Amino acid sequence: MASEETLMWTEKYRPRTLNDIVNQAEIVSRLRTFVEKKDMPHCLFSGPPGTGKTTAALCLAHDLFGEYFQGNFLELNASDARGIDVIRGVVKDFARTMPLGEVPFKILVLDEADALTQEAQQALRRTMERFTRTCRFILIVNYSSKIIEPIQSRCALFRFSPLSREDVAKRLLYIAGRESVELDDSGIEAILYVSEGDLRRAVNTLQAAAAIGGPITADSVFMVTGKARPEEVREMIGLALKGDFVKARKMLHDLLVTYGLSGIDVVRQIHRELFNLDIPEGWKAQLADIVGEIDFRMSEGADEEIQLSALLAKFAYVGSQIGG
Amino acid sequence: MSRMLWAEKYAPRKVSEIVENRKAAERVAEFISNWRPDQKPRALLLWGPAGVGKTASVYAAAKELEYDLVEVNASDKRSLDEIRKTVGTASSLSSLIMGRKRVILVDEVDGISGSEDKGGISGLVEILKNTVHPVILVANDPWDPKLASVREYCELVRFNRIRSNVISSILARICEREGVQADPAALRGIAENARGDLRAAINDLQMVAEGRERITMDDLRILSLRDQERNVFDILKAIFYGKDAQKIVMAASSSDVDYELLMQWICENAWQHMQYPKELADAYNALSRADVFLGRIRKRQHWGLLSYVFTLMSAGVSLSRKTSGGGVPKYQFPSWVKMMSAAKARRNAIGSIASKIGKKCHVSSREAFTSYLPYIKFIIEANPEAGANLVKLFDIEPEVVGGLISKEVAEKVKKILS
Repeated sequence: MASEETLMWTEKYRPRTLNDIVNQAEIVSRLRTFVEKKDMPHCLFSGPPGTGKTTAALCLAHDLFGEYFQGNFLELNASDARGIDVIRGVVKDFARTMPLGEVPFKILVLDEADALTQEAQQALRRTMERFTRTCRFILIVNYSSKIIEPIQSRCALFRFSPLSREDVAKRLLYIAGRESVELDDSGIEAILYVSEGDLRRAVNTLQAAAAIGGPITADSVFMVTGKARPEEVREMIGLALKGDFVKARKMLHDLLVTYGLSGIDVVRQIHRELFNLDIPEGWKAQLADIVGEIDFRMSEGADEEIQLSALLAKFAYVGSQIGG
Repeated sequence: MSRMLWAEKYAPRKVSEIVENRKAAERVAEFISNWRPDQKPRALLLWGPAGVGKTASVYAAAKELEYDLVEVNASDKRSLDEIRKTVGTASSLSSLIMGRKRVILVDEVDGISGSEDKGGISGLVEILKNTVHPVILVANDPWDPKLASVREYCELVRFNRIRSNVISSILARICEREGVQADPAALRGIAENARGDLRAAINDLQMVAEGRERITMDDLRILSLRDQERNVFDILKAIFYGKDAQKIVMAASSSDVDYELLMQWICENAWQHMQYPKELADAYNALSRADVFLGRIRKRQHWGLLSYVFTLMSAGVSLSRKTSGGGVPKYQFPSWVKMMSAAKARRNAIGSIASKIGKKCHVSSREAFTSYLPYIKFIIEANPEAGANLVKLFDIEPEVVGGLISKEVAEKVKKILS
């Protein structure tokens, strides 16, 4: 049986050292100088999902620590850790002991640091300062603007750019070759379309499509994403626009509970579907404004069910304006 | 599961099946079978709290003695008039089914409105005077002054609250018949919560058992929500029928219903009050704004913002309606809360899988949920051989595998792994 590590292709083909990272060249070269000097500042990695932020942090730590990686590296996820007090406790325990090997500090990666509230970030800043001699932080975020100024000014900022279509395609072909999976042009195009520059999603889509067996084509890719993005979303919008708020809301509950989509999944899918709707073109951008507002509110922690109900009610109104 | 109410399905069929209040039930049977048109007192007045078997004992006795039961609700004036017109003439009533005798049951006698509806009381007295059939009245509170004239014609029979150990043994028997496994502690919990009201206990049991094969203490949480229901109805009415913004806000903010739950109630029911799409959109927009403020409170602990939440969720929603509202709608328990409580176990299980995936793949559980789980699900379904390894890697429990993917595939995976 295959070893654990290799079961998910995202892990199997994750670069292990900075030298293996093919894109983000400028960032990689700056990180390499950290390895050479065996010194580094606190860092802030920002960029869209699936562009290699976590991978870069892992590679940097591997290259720095070598065989001492285990004891000197800790990865925490801010959106999983319950509150800043937990994080502070963990950091304290981790940073209290001296690092092993010849590098004089440990590395702590705090992923999704933008999930922390302003107050929590203030507390984090003090923690970073207290342990700065023995521990360097790498904060990973989608948007650096969500991190408070005092932390930003203490960190070296690295902006990860979205991967180019060519880079993603190259990687997909490389993996397909290693896995002896046939991947045709339509398959690549389809994966690029559904993964929107997110390499993680692209590789997961590739692996899922490969599980069907046979060559990977546009059809097999859409079979995968069809499961991940049910048709019901389209039907739900249709019902709302027709003014059947009650039925639309029932479908919403189905999507959230039975299909297990998150509220954010639902709005993003609604946004994509807008362009396929049979309504005057001028309305599409207006609807997008409503959808975007709801997306923003939910990512700020608002209640999915209430926000999406409001969205459907708004669609019902827009539907009545278009119709009459 | 059958849609029939268990409280009806398992109602007693014989007087001897009535456990508590047996003496009272026996008195009912005796009264019916010995009744003569010239007797005094003319009628029985069964009284006591709700759900203790007053009506049930009349039904059981009538069935056992083979009487036809004519039931009328005292507040239904039209039906009462019908009875009043026909009750004195034995022939007209027994013309259809020869040989069968009748017993007349007048329910909720204390529900007759004394002031507006004096005719109701005098009509009832007329029935009692002239009847050629046994009449049994039922009331919660027989001492209501407006019933003074009625009481004169009646023998009062008291029904007591049912002890909770009796209730829980009845619940246990129902569970057995329905094939529901239940923790004794959970049944005791339901019984105690019902405070002597057997019907409420059976209804609660049925609600808790819905969609479950096993009932534990954990499942009783929805009951506490249900307890507040009557209270909530009044608040909703105050919110949706109020005209004065300040009074509407007061109704929402002074209630002891949890405000997040109240928001769910409003979300579930507001559409019923909104006539035009514009009103609908405005109402739900106001509610969603209330939720945004609630989010800010949670995030920053700014409790001072709570008053905006109340204003927007109550007056904001209600006054979105510019036209005058129609009748009182049937308020529904928030379906979302119900679904979430049913789906909670499954969500928890999926959450723990997502967190395992997250740890192994360097993402948060939220990200694992959206960018790994759907694909892993797909792999398991499309290729159980490859999927089985993933099931093992992420410790996906067999029961959860069943919840995540189809039964057949789950079986296959189990076979591969064993």
